[in-house]
Amino acid sequence: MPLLSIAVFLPLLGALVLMALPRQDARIAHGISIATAGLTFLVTLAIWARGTLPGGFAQVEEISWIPAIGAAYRLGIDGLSLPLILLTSLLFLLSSIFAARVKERPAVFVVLMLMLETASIGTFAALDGLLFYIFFEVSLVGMYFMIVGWGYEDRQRAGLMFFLYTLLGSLPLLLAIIGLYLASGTFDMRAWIDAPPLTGLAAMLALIAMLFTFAVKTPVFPVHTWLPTAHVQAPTVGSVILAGVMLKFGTYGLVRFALQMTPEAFTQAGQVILAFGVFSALYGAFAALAQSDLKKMVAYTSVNHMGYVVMGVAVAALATDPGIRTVALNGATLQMISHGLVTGALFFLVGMLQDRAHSREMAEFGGLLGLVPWLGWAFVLSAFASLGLPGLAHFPAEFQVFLATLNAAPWAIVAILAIVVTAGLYLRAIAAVFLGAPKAKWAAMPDLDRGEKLAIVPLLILTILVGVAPSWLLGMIDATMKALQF
Amino acid sequence: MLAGTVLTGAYLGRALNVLWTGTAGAAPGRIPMMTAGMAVLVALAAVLGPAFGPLERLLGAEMAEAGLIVAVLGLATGLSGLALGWSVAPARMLGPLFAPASGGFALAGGMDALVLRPALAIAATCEAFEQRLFGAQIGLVRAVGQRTASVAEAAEKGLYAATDAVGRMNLRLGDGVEKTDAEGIDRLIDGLVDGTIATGRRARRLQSGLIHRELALTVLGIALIAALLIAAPLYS
Repeated sequence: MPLLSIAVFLPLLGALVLMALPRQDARIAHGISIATAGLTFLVTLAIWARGTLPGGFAQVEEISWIPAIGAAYRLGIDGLSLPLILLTSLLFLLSSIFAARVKERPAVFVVLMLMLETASIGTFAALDGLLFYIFFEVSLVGMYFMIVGWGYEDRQRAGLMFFLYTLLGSLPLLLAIIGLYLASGTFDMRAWIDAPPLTGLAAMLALIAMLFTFAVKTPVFPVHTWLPTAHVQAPTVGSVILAGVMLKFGTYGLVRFALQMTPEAFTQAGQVILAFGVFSALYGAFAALAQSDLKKMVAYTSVNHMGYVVMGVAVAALATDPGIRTVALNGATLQMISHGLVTGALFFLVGMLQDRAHSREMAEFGGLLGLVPWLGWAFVLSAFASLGLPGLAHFPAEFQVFLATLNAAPWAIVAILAIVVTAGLYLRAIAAVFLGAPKAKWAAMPDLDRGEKLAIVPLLILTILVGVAPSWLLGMIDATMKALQF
Repeated sequence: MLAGTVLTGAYLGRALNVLWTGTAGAAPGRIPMMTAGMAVLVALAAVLGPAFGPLERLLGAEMAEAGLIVAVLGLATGLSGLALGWSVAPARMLGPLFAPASGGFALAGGMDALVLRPALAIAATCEAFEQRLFGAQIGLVRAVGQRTASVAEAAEKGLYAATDAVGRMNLRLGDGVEKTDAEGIDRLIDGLVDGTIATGRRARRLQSGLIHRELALTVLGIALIAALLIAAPLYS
């Protein structure tokens, strides 16, 4: 059974069913959304159960599409893409549960979300350059309409900025894909990985084009400025999907395209890429420290966390010891998953707080831990995870990245300072929002309801599970990373 | 190590003294989850000591036996520290070290001046830079957009003017063609038609019935030509 195709197109089918229905009230729309996202999650679990191969791609599905140019419908998974597909289907399921409270044009919202899920899973599963690019671009449309249609006060501007920035950013990737095609005569990504078709100056130009695209998407300093604006203005579900799933397009592309398809050029540019990663990690942490808006603060920590991923990938290219390469890539990949879980939870929680208080300003709050203990403790746990506390999801990832960095490029260990800054900013936020004397105006603030708990608890459990026993995830990642040849 | 044990015992003795003999203030509200966490920690603190040996064996990381003397000495030192902390006031115990200890042995302004303020200053700089970067990127996009738009507008105007000129030229050409049509071709055709009509009219005169006059004139003409032809050799 073509499980990958089912996982990719089941959400789209759900969207089509909803569009075909004569009645599209909120209950039916959200019912279809949760059922479709739930089924898709189960299908991805079945894909996980089938497993990956130690080297190369597993569960490959291939149908001829445009034979004249060697483009085909090709899907497949490995230890890099499967964890991201699982994360995507989980976050979309939880977002569907949380989004059940959307009463404004619910059917359109659900259709957009399901289309976005198809595009997201498709991006991670595609093994054809053209197909990847199509899924990659289609995702922008869904997110743009989500920000513009259901965002906050300055949503039009933020949506336009997001769309233009990322669309312009992705054009160089198209040029790089065309370059790879012209050099190889096929769009088969497996062929591009097995025998990188570009060398010398052509490879370096393709790498620069790819790096620009993925740096915008990740995002990396100085092309990160769309992110805080988009996050602050996006609806809660939009922020969760943006941070949890769509930022990973950038880091996934960094490994899958930049590192695997232009390995020599990547190694030559390794120190520069590492410098960008280090600076992004530090800059993101300090910029987050300066924020008074809780959502913007969490958004900037994404720049910080994604900086560690870039560091891990760059260190993997620079390291000569295969063991260190594997550690660096394991750390970078696990960091993508951890960030999806932890930052997804943080955006859910900030959204829940904003829904109640209609404010994101930290100074407005205080003493909420006693008033809304579920929300408060969930935030504290997620914040501790985000600052890299041992036993929680980010620790094993960041530990591996720093371990490899210390070995291959010791100067870059300076980025570890960002952890101290992140700890400071989260402790300050916890103190400002959840500790101290509660303000009278929030006395009647309700705690999390059943739907909200259902959306947040799985993320918290996984945050602890990945932190305490990451081997169930790392085993799958490690097998692929060991076999990567570059 | 023994000095450390004495000092640890002393501050714990002092803490216990304050707890038992100090003046009670307003207690903060209880947080059940904190109580639960504390209960777990207390239980672990009480159990882990005796369970240390079995834990060592479980983890396969057994340490060297300390011996009875070390255990007795450690216990006696700890208890001495506790007694010292309980009975002697900190100012007396620490002497000249009391004042710097009260300030946390802060060097050069301590944590606040060495870490916190620089970190916040860097954060503020980053934020200011971020705003400028954001403004610069927006400005760049706007400038490029506006420049592109103005270039496009100028091109559009040029294109319009060119199209307009071509249109006007076409119109003029059309006028010329019309004039040529009206004053040239039409007049020529008209002239031809008029000429044809006039020729027709003249031809019709031949059919006027006065044929004998036309014949007489023709015979006269022929006779005149014949006379000229005959007379011509006479003059050669």
